[in-house]
Amino acid sequence: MATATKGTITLQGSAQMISEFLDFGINSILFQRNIYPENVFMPKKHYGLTVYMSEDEELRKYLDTVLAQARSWIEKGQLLQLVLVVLHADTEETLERWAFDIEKGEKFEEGTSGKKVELDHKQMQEGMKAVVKQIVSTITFLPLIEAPVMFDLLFYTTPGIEVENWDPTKPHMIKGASDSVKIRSWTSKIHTINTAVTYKAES
Amino acid sequence: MSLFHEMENKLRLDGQVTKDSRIARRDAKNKVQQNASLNNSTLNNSKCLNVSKQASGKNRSRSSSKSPSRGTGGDRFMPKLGDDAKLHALMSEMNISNQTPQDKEEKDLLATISSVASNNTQRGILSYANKPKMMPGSAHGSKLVFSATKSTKAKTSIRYVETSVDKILDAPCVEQDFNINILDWGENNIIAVALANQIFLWNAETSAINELCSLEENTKVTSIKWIDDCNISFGDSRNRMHVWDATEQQSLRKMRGHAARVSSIAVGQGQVPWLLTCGSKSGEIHNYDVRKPNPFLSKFNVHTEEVSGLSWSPDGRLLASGGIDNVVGLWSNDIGTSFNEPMHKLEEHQAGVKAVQWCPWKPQLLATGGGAACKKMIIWNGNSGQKVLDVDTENQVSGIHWNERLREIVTCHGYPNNVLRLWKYPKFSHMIDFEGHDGRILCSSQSPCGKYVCSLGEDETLRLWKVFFSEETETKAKRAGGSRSQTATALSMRF
Repeated sequence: MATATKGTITLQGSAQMISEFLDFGINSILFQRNIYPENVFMPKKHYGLTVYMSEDEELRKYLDTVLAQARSWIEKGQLLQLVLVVLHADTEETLERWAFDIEKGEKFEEGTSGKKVELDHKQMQEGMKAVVKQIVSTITFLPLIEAPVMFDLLFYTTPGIEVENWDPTKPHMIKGASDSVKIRSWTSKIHTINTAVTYKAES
Repeated sequence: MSLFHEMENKLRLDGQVTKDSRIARRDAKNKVQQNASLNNSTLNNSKCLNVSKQASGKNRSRSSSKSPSRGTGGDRFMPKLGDDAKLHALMSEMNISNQTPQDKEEKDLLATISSVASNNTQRGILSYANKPKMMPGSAHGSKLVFSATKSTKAKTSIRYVETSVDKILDAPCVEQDFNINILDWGENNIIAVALANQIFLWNAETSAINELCSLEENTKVTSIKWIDDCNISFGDSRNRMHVWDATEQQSLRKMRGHAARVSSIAVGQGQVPWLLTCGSKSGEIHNYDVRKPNPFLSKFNVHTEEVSGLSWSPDGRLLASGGIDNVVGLWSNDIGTSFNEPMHKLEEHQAGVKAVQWCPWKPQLLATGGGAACKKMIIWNGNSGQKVLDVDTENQVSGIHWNERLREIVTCHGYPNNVLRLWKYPKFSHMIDFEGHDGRILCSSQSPCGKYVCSLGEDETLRLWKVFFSEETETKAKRAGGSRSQTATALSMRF
């Protein structure tokens, strides 16, 4: 690559990066929060970081399907937010909410109008890496989850979207007192992803 | 520590709101700044706006038939408010007129906290229907329970608890009434128990049994409480209150005035040892000064059914009352005045509240237990009347006892298991059960040394359990000095 290593990215590229990031982010959360047992995950290297990705077929198929749909929505500017909710397996009480906001980046119109946008890929990847690292580090302050839990992925879209097999669902807000931590953002210039975790305040 | 924080937070509900909304406010500000440049709404933006305006009508009907979304209420990272025009459009749709984003976010947060479902559907929330199978039992491999004991040891302390009963005493003809409190273990280490119309005193040190008194036939004793080391008070089914000197075995006074039987008694703490608070089947709570010839002080009246639990906080500032009407009342210590409304009226229990017990080391914490339809032990902040947490005990709760030394709590139960259940503070993790009773545990009381709990069951037995024994303290005592300490521990309990 030349000196100013500025590559370019398109809207589709950005959507692709986002869905990859979400894949790593979701897997990290599932692993760190013990939503799936550890033996389901294998370490893989991405962005110069070791990320634990699940090997379980069903889970992989589920993630592939939803993330492909997410990618298509992002390209159309229809996906606003993706939330991973951690629910108590028996009571369905919301214990944690991991929210990934998909916002318009600096060069949003440029990208959406089909043009290629200048982007330092390395910088973007550093950004994504930093966020995944932070997700892993949250284990230091998040309350211990002792109950069996399950998760769900909520896709916040612009209204009026109907796709087969996708049902409207509740937002699964956390009842009562909760604490929130904002994690870093990263941008592809076309989109900016903000991450935050909200968890039930510990008694 | 965190429990304290929790309570602090509950006290400063508004404080919490602003703290969190500050994060969202920062976001909103950034976004508004970012999108200010998009003032000339691009095709995409205006399309979004139109879609949301048009579709909102369609969405409202759609959302009302399907899952009710709480809308944007409470999601702090929601604000996608672009330029001002869009802002106003969204605002008016959400029926909030002329409010700044900050106010709106605070309102949203409050809305979440009070669980108000708003009708706003600016976005759809979708979730893929074919979910992957959840893996059961994927809880943490090593279940670490960090005990909040005073010891600064980092390792978790495992305590061997003897769950079999220590001693069983016969309690024939015990009145099988859940709402009365006919057992009390006094500071003098004597257990007073009422069997039908008789009161027996069992000396835990000497194992001697004495009959205190015998009322008329067909009169039942309905409540007992030690006032101090030698005086004891009790109520009977003829609506009378008695005060006796247990050492002299003499009646000191009889008080009348209750409209119905007194089923719960609480004695004043600290500054007011002469205070006797009595809860009756009529729902009224009377305060008496036992020194005065005319003892009646005041009346607290909120319960519509029997007052089955009554307790003054250790600092003497608050009275907690539990009734069969499922209500818990928190009263101030203004005992000279009669009240028809408590400071806080707590109505979360789904069944009668008999177990009412203040935390000895945190004077504002109150634990109450609900009956068979409720099965919950609820921990409250007595000052603010707010619920701190609730614990599902899976059984009808008839008694709760805190232990300061070990930071543990034991709950005594009726239906369906009739056990004593031990919990670790502050996580309220279930430690172990004490099984043995064949019938509901009606009443229970903790020993003055804090090591034993006695329980009176419908199976006509009075059982003693070594609930709060810890080998550490026992071996420490033994090490402290051979025979002397041995007799010391022996004195506290000898059978």
